[in-house]
Amino acid sequence: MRNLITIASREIGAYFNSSIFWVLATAFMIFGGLVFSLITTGQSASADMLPLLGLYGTILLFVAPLLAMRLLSEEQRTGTLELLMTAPIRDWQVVWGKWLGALVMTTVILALTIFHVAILVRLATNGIEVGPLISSYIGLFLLAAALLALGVLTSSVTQNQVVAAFLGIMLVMVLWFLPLLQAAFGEESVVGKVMAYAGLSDHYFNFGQGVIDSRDVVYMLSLIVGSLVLATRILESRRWR
Amino acid sequence: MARSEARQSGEPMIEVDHLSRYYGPSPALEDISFTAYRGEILGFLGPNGAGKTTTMRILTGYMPPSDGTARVAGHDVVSESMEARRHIGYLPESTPLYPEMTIYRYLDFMGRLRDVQDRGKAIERVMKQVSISDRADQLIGQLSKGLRQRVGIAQALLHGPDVIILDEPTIGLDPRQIREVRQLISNLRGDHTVILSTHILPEAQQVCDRVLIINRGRIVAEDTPDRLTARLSGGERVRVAVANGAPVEEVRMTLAGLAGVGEVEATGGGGFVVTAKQDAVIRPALARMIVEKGWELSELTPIGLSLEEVFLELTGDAKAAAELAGVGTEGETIDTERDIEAGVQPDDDQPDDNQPEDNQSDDVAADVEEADNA
Repeated sequence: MRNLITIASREIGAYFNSSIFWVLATAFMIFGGLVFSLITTGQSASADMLPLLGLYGTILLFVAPLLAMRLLSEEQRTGTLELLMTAPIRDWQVVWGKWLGALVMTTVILALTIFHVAILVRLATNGIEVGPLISSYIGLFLLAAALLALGVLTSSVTQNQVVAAFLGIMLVMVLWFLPLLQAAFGEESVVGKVMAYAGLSDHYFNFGQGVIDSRDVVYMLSLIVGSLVLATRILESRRWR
Repeated sequence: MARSEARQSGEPMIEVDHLSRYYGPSPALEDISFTAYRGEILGFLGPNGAGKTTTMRILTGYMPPSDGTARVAGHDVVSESMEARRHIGYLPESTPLYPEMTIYRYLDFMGRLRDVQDRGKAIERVMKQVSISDRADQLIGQLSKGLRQRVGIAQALLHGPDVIILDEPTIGLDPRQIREVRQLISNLRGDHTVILSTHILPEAQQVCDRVLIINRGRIVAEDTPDRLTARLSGGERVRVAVANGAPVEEVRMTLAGLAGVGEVEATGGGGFVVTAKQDAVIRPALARMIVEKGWELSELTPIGLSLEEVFLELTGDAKAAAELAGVGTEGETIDTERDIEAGVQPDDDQPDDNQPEDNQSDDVAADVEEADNA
């Protein structure tokens, strides 16, 4: 655990010193703010969390892979990974530590959206429901964690940050839009159902309903653990090449 | 001498036994065995791609061997990897560092990873050791190559490891920096077991207590630098030719009887190769003797065995030999300025060398440079 925190805190420091974090945080707030104002000044200024959830989620699809792209690829390129892998720590601690660092930073960005919520509360004539609000944020947090884990995975396969980001966004897109294929295979067909379950977006939007379904939580957690375990394996395989 | 005493008193810190490593079907290391003792500085000498980096990566636990075993401070590098790693300080060839961190923060980070007790004191100690105490808050990305090398060495010393492994620690440095780094390494003698790799023979001679010459994944020679120097220095061997008519056997006996002469070998046609004992100057005496005896001296030439020739003799690898010697330092006692030049030279000298191992690291080094400038 101590090693994990050491790795994570170095990563957090690196983010604060890197332009990419500030650029992405700014982009997130600008896009988020623009669309937020469109939503709230629209027909019914509803206090519904779902449109907001969709908004943040969509932006995260791009922001998370871009935040995660450098995590392992950069260390492989500069050779610093060799020092980490010869220090008395386990490979998985390196991978999970880096993911944790990125997650902390992403959480900081997401926390900024509290301003939007505050405005929403002011605008909503009937007040705002607390249940869906909390469940939405839990969903958003889990989505960020899962997307970052996928980003760590694609970052482990290449020394090139751009390639890692590109692969990451592609992978994320495929998972996100997978449920759309359900219609193609037929709503009731087994393949269609598998598509719907494997897809990211349905699980994510379920959190907006104000109920936390264990299936959605399990899905997100398996995505995180699966990606990071695979990334660790890929890192380890470098030793054998 | 102090050097050899240090070695003899030491217990084995690194034991390598029949180690092999294959990249696919091609061997990078074949059946290497050696031992390094406490307190000694052991040099790996060989051309690029000889297997030096591979050996070091196996010792540090970065990659496993395909065959054989290696133990560091008594711990197997595969089955007790974590324990073995705790006893090692390692500086990879490209000196990988995080450019966005300050020296202090970086050392603090490495200290945490290595679970260093009383970190602040340890950091101060190593910064003093490598003379960067006044730069604690400077960003690593802004440092010169020589200073970065010192940070890399500081990092390797931080946890007071028994074994320090330095992969080409002077590569890419300017002559003054090379001298400083060599001095730094020499100062480690006695307290730690140091393994350093180099492809520059004079460097190995200057810094190391013992040298392993590695070529194409095999150890081709193991010797102390003194004996290596003896093999190399000219003046030790002299070609003598006496005009036809002189009695060969008598000449041979006479030459062998001279003070300072070790061996005399008749090469036919009145020619001899005379090998002197260590440090003996024999040419004037040889000439005088031959003239006194009334023989006609037709040739008296020192055979300077160049660095290239020694390596060539050991390996039959002409290209590698040329690379190893860098600038010709034929058969002379090594003087500091010249060997420093030799240290800088081979880098740009051998663009045709396409060994994957070292080229890759060069690329990495270039990339780091780029990243730092950005």
